[in-house]
Amino acid sequence: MIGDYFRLAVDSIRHRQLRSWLTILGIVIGISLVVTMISLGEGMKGAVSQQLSRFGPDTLVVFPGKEANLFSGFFGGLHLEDDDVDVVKNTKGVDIAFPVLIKTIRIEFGDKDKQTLLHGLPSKESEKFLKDFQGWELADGRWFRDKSNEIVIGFKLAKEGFKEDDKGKEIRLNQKVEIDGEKFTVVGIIASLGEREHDFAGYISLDKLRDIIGSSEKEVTNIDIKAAPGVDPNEVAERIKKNLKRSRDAEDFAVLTSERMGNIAGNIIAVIEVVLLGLAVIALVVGGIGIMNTMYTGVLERTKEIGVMKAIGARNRDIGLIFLMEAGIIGLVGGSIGLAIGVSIAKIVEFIAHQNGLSLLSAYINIWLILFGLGFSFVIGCIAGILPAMQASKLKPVDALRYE
Amino acid sequence: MFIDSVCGMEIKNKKFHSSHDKRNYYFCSTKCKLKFEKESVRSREKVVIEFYNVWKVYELGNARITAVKGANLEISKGEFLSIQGPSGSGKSTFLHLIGCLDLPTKGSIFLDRKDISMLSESELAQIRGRKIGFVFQQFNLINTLNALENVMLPMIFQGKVIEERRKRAVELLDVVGLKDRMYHKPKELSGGQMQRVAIARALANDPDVILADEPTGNLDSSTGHSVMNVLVNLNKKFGKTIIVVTHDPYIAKYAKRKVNILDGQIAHDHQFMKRFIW
Repeated sequence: MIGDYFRLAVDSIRHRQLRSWLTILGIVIGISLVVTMISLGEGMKGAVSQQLSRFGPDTLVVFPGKEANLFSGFFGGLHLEDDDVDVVKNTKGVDIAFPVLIKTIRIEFGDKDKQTLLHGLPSKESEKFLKDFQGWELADGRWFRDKSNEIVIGFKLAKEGFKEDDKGKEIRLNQKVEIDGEKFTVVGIIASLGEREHDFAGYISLDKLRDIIGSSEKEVTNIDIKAAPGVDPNEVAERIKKNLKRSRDAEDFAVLTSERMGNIAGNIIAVIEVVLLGLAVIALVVGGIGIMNTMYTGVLERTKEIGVMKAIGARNRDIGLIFLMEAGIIGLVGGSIGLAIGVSIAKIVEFIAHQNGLSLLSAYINIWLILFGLGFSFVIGCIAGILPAMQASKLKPVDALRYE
Repeated sequence: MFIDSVCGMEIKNKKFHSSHDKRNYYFCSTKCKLKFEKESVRSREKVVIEFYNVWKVYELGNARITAVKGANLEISKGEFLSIQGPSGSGKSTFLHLIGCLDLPTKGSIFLDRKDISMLSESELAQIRGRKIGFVFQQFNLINTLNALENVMLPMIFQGKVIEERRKRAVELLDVVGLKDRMYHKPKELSGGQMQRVAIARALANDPDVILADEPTGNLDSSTGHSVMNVLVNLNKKFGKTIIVVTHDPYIAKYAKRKVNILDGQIAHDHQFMKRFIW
């Protein structure tokens, strides 16, 4: 019997194609947004946790600026100094600590040039730290030496950085690039890390970078730290905080453990997700109202038909079920199409992200997401259909038959 | 105040009365009383529909309209009955009451000896589906369904399985001569064909009573007569009780018994005449 009602409902939807498709479109937009958001949101979380797992649990970073407002530290001219590095190094429980200076500088290669993030690092500590605790590997060559004109570059910078429309060349080992008129030999290429920032960056010794920018100050962008084995990184962070506060005479810095960074990133993603999901849900509610509107119009239009069906033996609940099913099917069809579009959008975003070096981001699609999309759209259709269906089922046969 | 159950006239005194089935009946004259007594034993055995002092009052805003005033009526199995009356006489209300589409304000309506005024809306719907077949002036087929599906529709609501529904619908379309038009939508059929599909649909659940409301109202006269012949056939061959509501005296001629309605009351021949003679 349910199958018969299903067929009756489908017949009536097909009979009013234009209106049905317009109504379905409303749900398509809502569901495709929801699916895209969930798929990419989960993908982003996955990418972050993958990055953090490479980062290592006993890693800490000191940034200038307050933790609650890190951006003001980056853009507000605050910075750390070599003295701070010494304070950190002398803190109990710190295994490795070294300064990192990051500047955007133009690198020239052949007849091309490119604005690049250049990291200035002390050779020995950074090599140990990055290779042993951050999972970095060299695809080719070796790490740079201190005070030498040597540079190590990211995988993508070497492959694509100076290529444009197949013109230009790949950078190979032992070729020379020019930075601020000074020649640097490429001694190493880092294997892909799957994130744009580091794959497109260059790495030279800290002293050389300071020479190039002509800075007499002992400016430092951030301090990378590894806690000693067996020590709680949170405790180390507390100690560093206390010592730095005493030496700097102000709390204008933040000490972040990898766990803490994960939380911050997670929170940012969560906020973005909630906002976008909120928008998607609004779209869905609008879609649901569209269904309701269509169903009410349908009830009015088919009043006589309802009267006839009642005359030939349809009970109130039969009529109600037919209309409810019609609304549910509209929702379900919209959901199926929306699901397909949403998954496609997520996949396209993933593809574009990979093209641009964000190889960690992958659209998250599994059977539960698909079932959720379909189920959710069906439920929305049914909820939107409840009131119209009730109105239809409660029509008096005599009044309905008389309706023209 | 009482109502003559033969002619439907209002009676002020209880001069003529008779009892049947533990119930007292009052009459306007000996003629009606004798008619009742002669017919009652024989006809009551196979009464399908009985109206007992049925009143129907509509309230439209502040106005109260009494559409049926204490009607008494018995319809036996296998009768071919026409209900006639001028517009506004309460004809449609009668039709709705007979068809269990509406319930009386006062009084009882018995369908197969069962008082329908006690039934819930969904029980009424089931009874309509099983015992009464409707044929409407505007055919009222479902436009989205083809002829076969239209005929199968009443059986869906009785929970019959698809094979049974299909077999029966094909049979019925054969009976009304439209087997070759099974897969046509109503729009692709002529008026006469649509009405015959509607008759087939009315027969779907093999009801005792076919209730036709101006069945020829939207047809030209020759098509109208051929549709009426289908109904006559059903009456003769299958013994169906046919009730036709019409204002067309030519159509009413097909009926073996005529019921005239005036101002919400049933007027049998002698009463009806009397009103005009007065």
